[in-house]
Amino acid sequence: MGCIENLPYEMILPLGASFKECREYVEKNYSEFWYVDPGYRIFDEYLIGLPPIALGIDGNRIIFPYTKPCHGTYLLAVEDADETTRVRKTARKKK
Amino acid sequence: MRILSIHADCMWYRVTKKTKLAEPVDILEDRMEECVVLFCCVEKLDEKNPEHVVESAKKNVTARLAKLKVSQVMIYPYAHLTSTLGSPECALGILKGLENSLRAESISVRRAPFGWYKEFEIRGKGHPLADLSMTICPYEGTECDFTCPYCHHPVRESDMNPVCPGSGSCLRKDDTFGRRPGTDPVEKPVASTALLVPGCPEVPVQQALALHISHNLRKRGTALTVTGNPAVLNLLKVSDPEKLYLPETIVLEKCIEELVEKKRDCKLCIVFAHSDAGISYAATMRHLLPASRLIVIIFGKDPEALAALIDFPCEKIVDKAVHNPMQLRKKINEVFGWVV
Repeated sequence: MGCIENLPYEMILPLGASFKECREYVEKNYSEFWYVDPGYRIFDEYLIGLPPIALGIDGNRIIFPYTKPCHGTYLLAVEDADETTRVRKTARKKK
Repeated sequence: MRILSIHADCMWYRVTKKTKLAEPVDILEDRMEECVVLFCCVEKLDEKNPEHVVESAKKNVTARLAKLKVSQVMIYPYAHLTSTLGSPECALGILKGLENSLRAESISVRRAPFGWYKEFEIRGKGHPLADLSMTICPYEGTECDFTCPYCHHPVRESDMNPVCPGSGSCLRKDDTFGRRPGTDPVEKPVASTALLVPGCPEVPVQQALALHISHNLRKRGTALTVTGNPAVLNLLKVSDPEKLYLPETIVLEKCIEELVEKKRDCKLCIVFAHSDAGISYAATMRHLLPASRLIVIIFGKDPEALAALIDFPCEKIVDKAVHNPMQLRKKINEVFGWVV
């Protein structure tokens, strides 16, 4: 996922967070959150994980889990107004 | 070459969208009645001898038509019958070759365009002989190495020694393949296509077991693809420089893209998991391959805790294996019914 590594991201939960912890963190800490399935495309990459994957939205920031085979899952935040709009249009509210 | 042959009352298609491989066409919609529809898929190994593949396909198809007493055929390019596609140039050449050679046998032939998305409707006749899957072996009639994914029995019968020569109590050799009846596990049917997904290569047993699974699936006729990050693929490639055990490989991100876009499919998917990330990849495969058999091999220092995270349908093979692969190999063999 070289593309995401080049984005100006903020690490919300560091390496070693489990997938479940990432989902619970998003649901607990963001008033606006959406659900998608594995394979959902964000920033030109496909999301990996146990469905449903929770994406948080805070203003123009998207908070999403990012998994690498050798590192585990991180929870990242990236600011992007267009992608935020797209998530609101294409993701779902219910689990 | 793979052909799915369907004896049909009628077949209709209409092109919807062209791909970058699309051949130029004048006919955008066509229909044929009382025909045999040949869903055709050209594979990588067909590139070795396309003329031979065309000739073998013609022979098999004409024999089929004679049995069904049908003289009309629609050739329909269908890339989804294999995971090892041939090049588009070769595929189109073989399809046109088959079209011409059938026409030379006085068969009425229509061919749907290659490289186009198409909508279609088919009404199959549904009688016992109506549907047939054919595999046109590119080695047929030539020296066969018996290791290609087309061969059902990856052992030369002439090389086999009877278990008990001359004894009437022996089962036929084609039933036993040297197994002791009633004592060894029975070999289960192997999937036609499979995807092997090793995870991060930091736990040593994974590499040995990935090669073990690859070797055993391939020798039993499964068309296998291995996908992983570049590090794990490079480790496997360096371990097997002549590709004796390794099949086609594809980088994980590309593979996921192809699965999402429905360009890739498989009957069996095996995922290695020794971390939370491995379980995430297994869950992703479950979601992207809902109809496939999914086996998750959970290993490492705390496999039971990892296995407890799995709440999606799959078969689990769990063992606390880090350096020694023997116990986990035994469990894998039992699940597949392999006598190794």
